Amino acid sequence: MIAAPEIDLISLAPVLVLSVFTMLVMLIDLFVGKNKSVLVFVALTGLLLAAVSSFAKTDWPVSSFGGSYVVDHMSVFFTMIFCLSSGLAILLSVDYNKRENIRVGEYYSLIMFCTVGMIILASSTDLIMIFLGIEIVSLCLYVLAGIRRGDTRSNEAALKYFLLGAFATGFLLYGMTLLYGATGTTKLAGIAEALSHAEVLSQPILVMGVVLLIAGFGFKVASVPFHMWTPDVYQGAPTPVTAFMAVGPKAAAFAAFFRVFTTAMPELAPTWEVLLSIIAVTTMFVGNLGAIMQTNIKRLLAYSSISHAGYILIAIIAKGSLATSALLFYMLSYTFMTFGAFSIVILLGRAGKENLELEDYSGLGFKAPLLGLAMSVFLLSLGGLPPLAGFVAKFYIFQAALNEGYVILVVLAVLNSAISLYYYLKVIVFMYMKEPKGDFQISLTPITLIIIIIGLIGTVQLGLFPGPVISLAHP
Amino acid sequence: MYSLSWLILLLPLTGFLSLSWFGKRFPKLLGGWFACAMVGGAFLVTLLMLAQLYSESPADRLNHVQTLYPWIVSEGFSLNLSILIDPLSVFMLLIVTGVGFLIHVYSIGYMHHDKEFNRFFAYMNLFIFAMSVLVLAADFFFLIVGWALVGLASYLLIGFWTEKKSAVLAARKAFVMNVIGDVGMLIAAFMIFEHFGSLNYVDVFKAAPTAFFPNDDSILLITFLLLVGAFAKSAQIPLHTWLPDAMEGPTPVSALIHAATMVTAGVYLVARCNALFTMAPFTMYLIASVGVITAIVAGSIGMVQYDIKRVIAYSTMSQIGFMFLAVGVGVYSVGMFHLMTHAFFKALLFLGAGSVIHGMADEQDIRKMGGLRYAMPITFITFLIASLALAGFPLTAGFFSKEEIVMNAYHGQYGNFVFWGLAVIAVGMTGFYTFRLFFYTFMGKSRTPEAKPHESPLVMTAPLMILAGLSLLGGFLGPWVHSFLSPVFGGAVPMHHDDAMLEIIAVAAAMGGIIAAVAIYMTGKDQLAFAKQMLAPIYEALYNKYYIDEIYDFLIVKPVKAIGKFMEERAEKLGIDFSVDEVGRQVREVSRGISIWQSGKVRIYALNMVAGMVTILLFVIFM
Amino acid sequence: MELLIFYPLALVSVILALFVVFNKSPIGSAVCLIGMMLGLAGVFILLQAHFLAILQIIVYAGAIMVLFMFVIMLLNLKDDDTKWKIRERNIFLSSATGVLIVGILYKIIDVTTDTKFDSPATVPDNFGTVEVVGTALFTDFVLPFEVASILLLAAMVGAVVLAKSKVD
Repeated sequence: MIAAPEIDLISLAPVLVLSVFTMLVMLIDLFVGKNKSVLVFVALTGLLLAAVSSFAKTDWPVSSFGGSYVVDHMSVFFTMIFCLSSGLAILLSVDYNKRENIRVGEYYSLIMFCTVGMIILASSTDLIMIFLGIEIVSLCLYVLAGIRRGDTRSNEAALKYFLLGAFATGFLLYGMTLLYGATGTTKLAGIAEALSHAEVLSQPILVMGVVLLIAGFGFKVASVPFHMWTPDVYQGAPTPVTAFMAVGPKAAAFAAFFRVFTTAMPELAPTWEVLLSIIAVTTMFVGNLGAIMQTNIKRLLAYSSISHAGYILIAIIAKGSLATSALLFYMLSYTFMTFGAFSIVILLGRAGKENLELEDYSGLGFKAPLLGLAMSVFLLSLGGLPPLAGFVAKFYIFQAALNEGYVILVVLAVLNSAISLYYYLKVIVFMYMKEPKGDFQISLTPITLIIIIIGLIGTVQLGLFPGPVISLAHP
Repeated sequence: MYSLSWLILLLPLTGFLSLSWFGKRFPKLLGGWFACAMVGGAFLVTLLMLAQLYSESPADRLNHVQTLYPWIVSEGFSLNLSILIDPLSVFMLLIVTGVGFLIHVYSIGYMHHDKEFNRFFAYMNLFIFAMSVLVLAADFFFLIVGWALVGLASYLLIGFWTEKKSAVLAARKAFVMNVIGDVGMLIAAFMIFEHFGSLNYVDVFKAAPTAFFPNDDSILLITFLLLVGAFAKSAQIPLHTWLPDAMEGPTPVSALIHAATMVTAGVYLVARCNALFTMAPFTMYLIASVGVITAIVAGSIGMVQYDIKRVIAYSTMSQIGFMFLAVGVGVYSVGMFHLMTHAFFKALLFLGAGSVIHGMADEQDIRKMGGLRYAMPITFITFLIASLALAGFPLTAGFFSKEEIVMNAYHGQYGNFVFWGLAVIAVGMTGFYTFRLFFYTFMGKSRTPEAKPHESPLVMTAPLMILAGLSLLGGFLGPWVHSFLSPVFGGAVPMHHDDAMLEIIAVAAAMGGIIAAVAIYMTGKDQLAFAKQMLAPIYEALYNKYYIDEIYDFLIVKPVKAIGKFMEERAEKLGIDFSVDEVGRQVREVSRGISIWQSGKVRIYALNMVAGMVTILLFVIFM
Repeated sequence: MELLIFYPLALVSVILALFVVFNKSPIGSAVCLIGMMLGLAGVFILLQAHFLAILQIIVYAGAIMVLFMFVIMLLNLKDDDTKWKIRERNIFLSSATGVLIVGILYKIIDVTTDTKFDSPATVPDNFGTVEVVGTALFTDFVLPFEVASILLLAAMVGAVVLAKSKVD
């Protein structure tokens, strides 16, 4: 007799709501004429409703579908971050798409599909679900990166990302298979249970599985040595997509990374702790040192995002409940400052001339003082200067690591923060200390202004008054 | 009352924010006076704090922590926005805001012609704010914040004239050196947190005596890392090369930041953390040794410089060396006392030099000066007072503080004969280079007759006169300083050592330096008349043995010049500068390497991924 | 008995896999790949996963590889394009990786030689049948099964976006 499956649609509410709205966007796209702005409203409504509906269950943690899906404070907080970042990405794209002539119907629906994948990724406690989530996210990103089909750089980015991404997916899937082979289950809780038996723990294929998982996740979060795609893809992809990639999908990958390693494999921690520590340190160094010589702002931010992946890896190494809330806080602050910085990058571009070289920023501080100030705030926050959000976020992660006794790791991370200030300040030096080369033609639309203001409020608010958000992030 | 102490931070911050935002709309002079008012207000509030402290018994004056707002609260850790009022912080603040106020007033005259007058005052207020954060911090976190902020303010002010290439380079150099120090401090803070589970001064210093054995590995490391920060900020060997270059900034900046306040922060740090340093006698010896070596090396370089500001810069390094010697041998309040007197006379020297440069239309080479005593009488007299104080002429401020240091170099807890001997030599050098500078600048005839030197306006000379008064009489504050600060240093008041022999030798060394300068620089033919009139008895003696000049030249001047030149060229240019530049170059190389690695070829990327994964796998399997 | 079938099948699969890499022409590589898939299907049958073996043949050897062949044919390659071109190589990194892989293989063989293979797990009679797979898909794995539909929908939308004839 077939046992009835355990189905809990209320847990799935955000996924369902968002899927419905995604399809709505595609359908409405067929019926509206030239003016597509109604799509933006539909998409934003969907994201908002998804965010609200994630509170449909409040007695966290709720596990459903036989332990493959969970609603807990981490998944809900991440859902908030995803909806926020996707909303910001959509807003950021409105003017950009008009400028670059990108068809918006599919564009918005792909971003929303991607968000569905991210929510699944952050809420799943089953390897197969995690794999599916990663695939949904990746597929959408491959297409989004190449959505400017007339632009060779965009094509190149998409193709590179696709080839390497498929390669990495192979690693990930193989790793999951080996883990399944060793433990006989794909549920994270089940794996943890199986690993508590010594005869399972001693199997050599487990180690292979862990390493392959690290490689697969390492690619998604852009950690060394799986980071090589990042600068090329970030540079080639349309700028709003780059901003989106740097925040949402990365946060989702970290959520799954964190969940898999801390809930399924605490028994294997001695192995992967060392590995992840080495990877984290090299990631920070490669990211920060690589950024120093960059002259293209998008590449610079790409390397900067690599180095941030290194800092966030420390949260995974630190484990524990403090590390969870540190991870959540970091991702939220990172969302604000990254979108803020990228919105200004987009603002400086024009049709046919994107103005992405550092030279193009010369004198911005005098010509547009408020924009220059905003950009400085975002960059300094990325660099981790008090009293901005980036500082509190880093501080929080470092403290989680210190509590677990990883002093050397933290010291190296702090050293890296100091190095990173060099290139963030370099941009600021360009803005304030060099003579402007040409005229800035900045057309500040209300939408971009809103994004910049949201970014600023977030960056400053999380820096000065982190208390409420910290208590939200804390289980 | 203590809750008002937040004004000390808020006033300069207000000044900075409003001047940097609305600076262009402020009328020129108003901006300057506004900035002065902010600093003056901070000084008045500090005086209030002083009065409040005096209303309590000495033992109760410690540890008044004022919390404004709990910033970060999480499990196991909290970070409060709070400041610490105690005798040490109030003492330091009196100097910072008091001398700072005088220099602000002076700057109104000095920077009068500058286009970016208000931007300058914005930065100056930023500096006062940063320095107040550093001094008032109630934990190591805000100490480091202040530490980094003063570095930033110093960077902005050194490079204030952005069109001046050398100034920008100097600013960058200072910044890099200071970041080295900041990183050291940061790591020290992490270690402190690891050991004490807190960053609060109160908790840490209370726990320190029982947490370690003396000369424990970890306390040695912590104190050593703190010292890296202290030495970088205070320009001690080997992290000193940025200070002479920093003279590219406007002269009031040199007076405020690079003489009176910021560069002495290292001494303040050691004094503040005395509970930690007491547990690490090895580190104390290191401090005293580095201090006395810096005093000698910087003094010897100062003897051969021709740029008026560089001479004073090297002199500053040398004097801070004395302060480190004092705290290193365990007499913290003597170090703080010298810090105070030094702030008076060194600020005065710099301001006087600024007045000279101002009057000479931006000429800084002392070989082109001379005879300024007639053209600039007020500057001349105040400069003379400052020189006497610096040289340690009896009964001036510098005499008292320096005598105490020299005495304690022998009699202090960690003192010994070597420290004392080297200190005496450094005292002699001080007398020599100070008066060499003085004679070159003010005596004799003008060497550039076409220059039309003129006395500076009252807004510049008034601060000079006040500081001159303090330089003359500040020395008598000694006993007050010691008793006021003693609660912070565990109730210890440095003993007065009655050792006439040592005292006489030290005074003789100072006099000897002055006389040597007189002998060499006052016996030129054009100066004979003046020397005869001023120093008749000595002159007689010298005149009769005029050939001694050549012997001097051969025995003293040439070797001293050679040593100074050697120190400057080899030790600095090749040694330290080279290594700093080399580090920068290597970092850029690595960065370029990473860019080249990024070849853009997908096949290579994939290969890299496989190679990376295989390496990890191999590492795990064989680990 | 089983080993008698397993070793030839495995050997053929490995050799064909090597041919996929070393074959000079893309079409040859694709044909070798089909062969390798069939070999793997044989291994699945040995493991009593009959349904999976059939799927392997239908989906990979049938559908996907036929698509591959179509694409290669439709590209209408000219003569010199029908050979793989030697592109940029990184000999050092490649050989270093190769050496490291040999090291890992050595270690794995070293570890697994002690393992006993003479007690295979007992499987239920209905293992690997369509019924069991279907039941699992619609009970335990119903959520992944449904989520896969979102994945497919997203993939379709993406493919349409990239392949539309009008570049806008």
